[in-house]
Parts: sequence; structure tokens; C-alpha cells
Amino acid sequence: MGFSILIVDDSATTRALIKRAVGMADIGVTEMREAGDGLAALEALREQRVDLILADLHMPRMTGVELAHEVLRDPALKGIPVAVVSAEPSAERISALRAAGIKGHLRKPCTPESLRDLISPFVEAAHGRQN
Amino acid sequence: MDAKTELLLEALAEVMETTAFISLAPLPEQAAPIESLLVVTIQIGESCKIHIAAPAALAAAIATNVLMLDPGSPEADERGPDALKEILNVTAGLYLSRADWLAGAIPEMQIPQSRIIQGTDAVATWLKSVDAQIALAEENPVAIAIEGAL
Repeated sequence: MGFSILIVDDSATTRALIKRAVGMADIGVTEMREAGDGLAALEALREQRVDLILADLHMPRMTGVELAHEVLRDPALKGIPVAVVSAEPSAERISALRAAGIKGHLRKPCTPESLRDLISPFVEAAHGRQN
Repeated sequence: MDAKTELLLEALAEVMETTAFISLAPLPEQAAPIESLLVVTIQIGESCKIHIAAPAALAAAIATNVLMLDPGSPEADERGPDALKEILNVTAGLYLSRADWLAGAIPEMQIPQSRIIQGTDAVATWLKSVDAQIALAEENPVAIAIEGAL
């Protein structure tokens, strides 16, 4: 059973880092796609859905929270979970992300182990739905 | 070096190690003058900036390691500035998360901005103006500094 993710970050370095760590985590992610900001992510999602979105918080044109709002509002995209991977240091602002619709958070630097802890529940939930 | 700067340098060392597989070492006393620096700056709240500065060669080395590029490739040179920005972004976030004296009231980080300082005199002046701490990474200097109150 496959599991696809969309990595959204305006830094090519960060996207490469996350892809590398997800690959090393070996958690059943079969496809990894990329977008350079929230607007590009929405365009990519309207062409092809994914099972999970990993987004940075602070991006030009559309932030990670704004992207989550758009995904929630769009009937075609609703149901795709958005998790944030960011350098955000404030526990309070991270808590506020949940109220904004974010389904998970990981503070950088991310390791294969930390990505496994973040992503595995979504993989298990998706495979549970498919069964 | 004060405790806050030491904490920042520790954060940088950790990020460089885990992200780019590059270890920091003390700068030799007889280090050559630095001819050019790529300076990346993050504004923290209203009154603080954190800077990281490195020659383009180190930025390219970071990009090479992170993106698994061919060493010395033109793509490594192009991607270097973005790689250095991300190193600073993660370092600043890690540092602020460990800044106990802020008692949870952590100011927001802005998107990093970068510029180049050219010429040994201009570089030396800037390093002194921000009281930068300089370490060695991949045989290149890397400087880190906190400017303003935090």
C-alpha cells in the first residue's frame, strides 16, 4: 500500500533534508513531492492528492497556517492532514497551530527518528482506512 | 564569550553536525584575513538580530553535503546561500528554544535575509562591529553573532 507526502518549503535545502530523512526513516512513504510555497502546493494538490502535507510555517506568498486553512476549506482537499516542520521555538505558538487545523508539528533539525514519530501515525491511519 | 553567545555557538555546532555533517573547530590564531563573507541575518522580535557569516566556499560545501551534489559543482555554488540561510534558521530556532531567560516569551523570527561583504577591511570591520565569534568549518571560517538585546 502506498503513502504519498507533499513537502512544502521555500528552501530547496530544507526540502532535500526532509526527503533524505524520510527515506532513511523507512516508514512506507512511497512518493515524495515538493512545492516551493503554499500557492504552488495548492496547484500541485489540485492535480494530484497526497496522503500528508509537511509544510514550513513562514513562507512567502502563503504561510503554512494559511495553506492548512485553504486545504480545510476546499472540498476536494479536505481530509488531507497538514503537519508543520519548522524552526519555530515557541511552545505557545506551536500549541496555537492545533487550533488552526495543523495535525502535527516537528521542530527542526529533523532526524529520521523524529520524522518517523511524526509520520507513522498518519501512515497507519491511511492503511487502516484502506483496509 | 558570554553565556548567550556560547549557547548560540553550541546550537550552530549541533545544527552543522546533524544537518550538513560538518564539525566546528577552534579558529587558528594565525588565520588568514577573510576576503569575502556571505552574511545571513534573522530579525528576532523588534530589537535583536542573529547573524551567520561564511565564505561562499563553505556555503557551497554545506549545500554539497545536504543536497548530495558533486563537490565543486556549479549547482553547489548556486545553492550555497539557501543552504546557509537554512542553517541560520534552524540554529536561531534551536537557540531560542533553549533560551531559558526568555521564560517562554520568545519573540518571532523573521525570514532570513542575506548580503555579501567584500574586502578584508570591510569584513574585519563588520566582524568587530557585531562582536562575532568565529570558528573553523571545513577549513573555512564561520562567524556567528547576536546583535541587540534578547
